[in-house]
Amino acid sequence: MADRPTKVVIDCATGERQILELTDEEIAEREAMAAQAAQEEADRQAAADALQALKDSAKAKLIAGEPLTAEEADTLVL
Amino acid sequence: MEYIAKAEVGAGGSVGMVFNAIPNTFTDLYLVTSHRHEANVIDGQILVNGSGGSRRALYSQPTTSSSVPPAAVTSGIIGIFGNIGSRTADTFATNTVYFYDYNAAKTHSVTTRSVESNYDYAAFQGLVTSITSSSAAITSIEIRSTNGNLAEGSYAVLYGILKGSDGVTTVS
Repeated sequence: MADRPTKVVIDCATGERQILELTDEEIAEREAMAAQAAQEEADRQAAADALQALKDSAKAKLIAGEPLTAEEADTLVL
Repeated sequence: MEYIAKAEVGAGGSVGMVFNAIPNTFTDLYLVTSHRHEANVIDGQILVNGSGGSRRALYSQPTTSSSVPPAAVTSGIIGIFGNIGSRTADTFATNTVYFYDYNAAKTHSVTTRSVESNYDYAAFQGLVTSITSSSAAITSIEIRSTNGNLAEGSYAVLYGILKGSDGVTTVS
């Protein structure tokens, strides 16, 4: 069985340092947060990929003399 | 600026570093961290008085020519980032976090600047604005990873900042 997660706790009033195990509630909350963080990372990567794809498409159309979509044009506005 | 306390993760790692019983004798709080996640996640989070908040972040990488658009508002998280576990061994992300007027009984704006370290390329950078869900004076701050442990050697130092003698200036 894996060790129970811990946290380092500092009491600023006394300077006391403790290593405390997480409660069941804290562990459950962290698991939910991990799922949210993974989803956000996926969303962030998807947004970056989509923007790059629009820029690539806009560049190709400019070179070819083809009309851009509004979305593609937006990537070129400074 | 006055030193308040330091937390450091020891052997075996820990998921978080917590400052409790923060004194109310300052105007603002300034937090400096150097930390690394054991798992391959960059997202960490800050809890203020045991609660999260919401954040919006800007990201960039120095070797990427195009900037990454701002992330959507993320509920539940006050932003901070740590080096992901796949980065060069023993490299740590640095963060500076500012808590303005922390004794006020209201929600608090939090500003985070974050930079990963990987020696030779592509360190991830983030600028994050957050707002706490807690509307009480700040007495507790926790820094933690969202998945897995903070690596041994990770640390956080908390400072207090006093207003100036004119009663307006926030740094002394």
